Amino acid sequence: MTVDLTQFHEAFFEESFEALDAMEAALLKLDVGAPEPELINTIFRVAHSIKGGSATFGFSEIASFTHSLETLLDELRSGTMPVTPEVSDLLLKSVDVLRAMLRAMQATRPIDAQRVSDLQFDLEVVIARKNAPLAAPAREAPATPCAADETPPVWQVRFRPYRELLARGNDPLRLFRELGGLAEVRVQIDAQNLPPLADIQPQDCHLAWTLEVAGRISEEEIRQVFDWAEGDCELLIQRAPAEPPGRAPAPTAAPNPAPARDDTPATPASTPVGEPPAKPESTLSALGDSGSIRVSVEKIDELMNTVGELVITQAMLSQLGGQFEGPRAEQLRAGLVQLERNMRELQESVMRVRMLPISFVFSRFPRMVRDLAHRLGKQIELKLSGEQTELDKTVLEKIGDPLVHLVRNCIDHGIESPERRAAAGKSAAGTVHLDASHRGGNIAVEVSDDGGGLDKSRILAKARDRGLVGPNDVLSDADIYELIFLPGFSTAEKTTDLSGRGVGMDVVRRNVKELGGKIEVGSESGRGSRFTITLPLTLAIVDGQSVAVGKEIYIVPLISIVESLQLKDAQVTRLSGQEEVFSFRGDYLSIIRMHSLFGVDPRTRALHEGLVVVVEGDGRRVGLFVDDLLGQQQVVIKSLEANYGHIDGVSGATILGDGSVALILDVPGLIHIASMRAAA
Amino acid sequence: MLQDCCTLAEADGLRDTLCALAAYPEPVILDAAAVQRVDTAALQLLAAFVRDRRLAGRTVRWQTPSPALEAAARLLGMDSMLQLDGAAR
Amino acid sequence: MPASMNNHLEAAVSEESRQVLTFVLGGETYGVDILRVQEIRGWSAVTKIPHAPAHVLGVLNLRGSIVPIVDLRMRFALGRAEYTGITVIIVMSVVTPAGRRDIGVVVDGVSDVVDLDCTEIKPAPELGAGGATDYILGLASITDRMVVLLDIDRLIGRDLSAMAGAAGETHDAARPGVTADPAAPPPGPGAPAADAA
Repeated sequence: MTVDLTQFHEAFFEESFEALDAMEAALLKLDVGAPEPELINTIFRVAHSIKGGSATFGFSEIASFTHSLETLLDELRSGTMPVTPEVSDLLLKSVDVLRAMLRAMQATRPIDAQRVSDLQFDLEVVIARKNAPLAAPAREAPATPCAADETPPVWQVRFRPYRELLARGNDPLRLFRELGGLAEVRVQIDAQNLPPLADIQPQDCHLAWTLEVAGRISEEEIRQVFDWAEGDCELLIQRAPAEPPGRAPAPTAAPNPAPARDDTPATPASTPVGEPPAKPESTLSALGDSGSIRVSVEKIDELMNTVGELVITQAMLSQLGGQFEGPRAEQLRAGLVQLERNMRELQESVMRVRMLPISFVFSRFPRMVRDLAHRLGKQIELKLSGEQTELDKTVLEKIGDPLVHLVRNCIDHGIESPERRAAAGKSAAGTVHLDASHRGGNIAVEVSDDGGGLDKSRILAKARDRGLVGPNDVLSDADIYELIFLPGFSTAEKTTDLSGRGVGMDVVRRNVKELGGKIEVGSESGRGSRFTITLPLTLAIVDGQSVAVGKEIYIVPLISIVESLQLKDAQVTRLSGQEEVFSFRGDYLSIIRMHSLFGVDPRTRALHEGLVVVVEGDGRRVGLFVDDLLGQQQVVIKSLEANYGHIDGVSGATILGDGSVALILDVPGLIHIASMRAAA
Repeated sequence: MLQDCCTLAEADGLRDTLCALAAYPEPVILDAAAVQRVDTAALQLLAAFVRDRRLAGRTVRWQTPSPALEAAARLLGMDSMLQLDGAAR
Repeated sequence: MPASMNNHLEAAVSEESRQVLTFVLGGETYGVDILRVQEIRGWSAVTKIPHAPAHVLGVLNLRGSIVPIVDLRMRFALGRAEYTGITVIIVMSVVTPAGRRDIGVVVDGVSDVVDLDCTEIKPAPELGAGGATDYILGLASITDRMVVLLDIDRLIGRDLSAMAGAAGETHDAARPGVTADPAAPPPGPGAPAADAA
């Protein structure tokens, strides 16, 4: 069997993208002038590990670029070069370029070589400029602050790779060689767990090592050497007792000044191997990695599907169990109750596996806000809160773009220029606030600003201009704000490159709707505006109200239900003998008769014999006429499109306790159909 | 005789070769003069081979191990385990 | 017959023999490539789909997947049969322009699996109404019966992609008391009028 390295590419890309996010976050926190060493270390580590990985996989362009980047970072780390705004910008650009390169590699597209080499040139110019005045290479002089420390510490490094280490392209040999280039290293191998030859899978690592590292090296530096193997090993670094316990001093050469190459074997010889000391296992495993593993989303989805099936089977059994009689029936039912409880717990656990904190999405905003504010000459402070609120990965992935759009809008249209703010008696810097929180079974994400608020008269004028509103129509504030969600509606006075390109709030609303959520807007003139997105926790499950129409059962998502009521005939007005409307909290709502819309035989056609479910979608309300309400339940959403296709007014299907299929209603879609019909 | 490249990619073949030699009653002589590249995976196999032979009371001898092999073994602290010390040059 | 039909036949006869699942429908025997058959199951009540063509009876839960059920009798305008305990659904995978789909097909009964020598498969005679039979791959005789080999991708796959989403706001549903007739045949060629009952 040969090991195909490409199978590790995806993991490398994924890890690198995450690492770049961390690097970007650290860069944004970096104070020009007084940089925090830990932040620079973080940034350095990212560049270092991407360099290592790309070299392993033969992505030479990335390796070369990160090498230049690393050189610059090394200067910053050692403090021989100050962190200037120029450098900071250069580093941020490097993040972008690296991302672009990785994306290109991932998609096996060509890299934008010009962009890369331009930036690499800039990086090297900065490095060269620093080195020019100080003719002698600064490295030779070990002007380390710890120079006073006479006897350098001896570190004891216990390195216990997981089996997969080798298969992931990490070789202890390379790590030790690098370490040997930095300090004096004594190696002791632990081959206790090495199985007989015939039982060895060559790509599994069965060895462990204890290293003694002496020299001017910090724990951090040792860690950095092992950085690339991080997650594939247990690593324990501690100060060794001052005097290495009675061990024959092995002949050791002086550490090489630079990492050794294959043909120039670096130094450190080992102590003779006796019986490896019996290390207490527990300390090692206790201090291992963070205890997390990387699992592909498909595997989790598979798990979710299976659990979904189980839930259905369990519901089926429960129904059946209720019909049993006899002495043992009680026992059976008790077991079934227990099963139901366990199922629910299992389902929740699996669901939680897919949940990620919204900080994954929020983290992109500091950079974006910084860039935008810069470009527009505005001063903006970004406040983030509730970053730890968790939601489903799928939802998370899809909520990013709508949020970007909203934040852009806030900055572009909401926040005024510093002068105008000053004139209004506000602080020069505007605030954009992103907040996430749990609200009932949903997640609410709010984007608010303390800018000028939505300009009602301008929105109205524009809507009249476009014929969206009649010249004499009187609209409530809420109605006016709703207008901005109409397709093609943009209120920007001038078209900037940020927004106002006609792709607007309607797209935001559509995206949110696709996630089964809704968006609402509030605004106060001169005080700011607030957009609230309400999202389901997950796309896999929906809280639904089952309704009956004839023999069919439909599921109405609870999130869109306002109220259910029984109408008397007298409450219903027929407009021009066709459309039926009724009065509800001061508004007139149309009635959609589900039986006629979906073509089923209802139990009743008389409005007073059935029920009307008032639902809301796209900011509009209608009454759905159904025969009866059944129960409320969580249902697992199944795709109809997998084997059939899209059905207007239906968002998916679910499987009921008896194994039959029920359709889940798409309320905004139904309202759309109804309005098309009314217009026809 | 070992090939010039002894790395993870070749490790399966190496293991099979070594397995075939494991029970060979006569002393086995490993000619490692040509080894240019070697990695932990290969050394791990060699270490297991040498150890298994030793435990069974059988001998392994090295013939002119290449500098690359010796350096790698030393770096990993495996030189004595591999009995590279008394190797014929 | 259009050239594509011949290409199709060539593809069919280039293999030496093929296994075919045969089933009965309105007195005729039909056959489909056994490799397309996922499973055979008994009848159970389906959930109706709004705005679907008449021959799409609805959807069923097939071990967690939602699978549409097509009545071939109605597709062939053979009239509606009663669905009973012995009604059989053949679940097959169909290639549609939108990708692979699993579809359940209601038939009168499943006969057996037969090996057909490809040389025995003869092209269907051209019938005047072009296009009406282009879902027939060929004809073959087994002992004394004639088997019509179906190209299910053409027969079902093509109008499957057309049937979803094609229906819409055509129902006269605004007036209370009027039940819309959902049994409107899908438009386009190759879809004979449904429900001759």
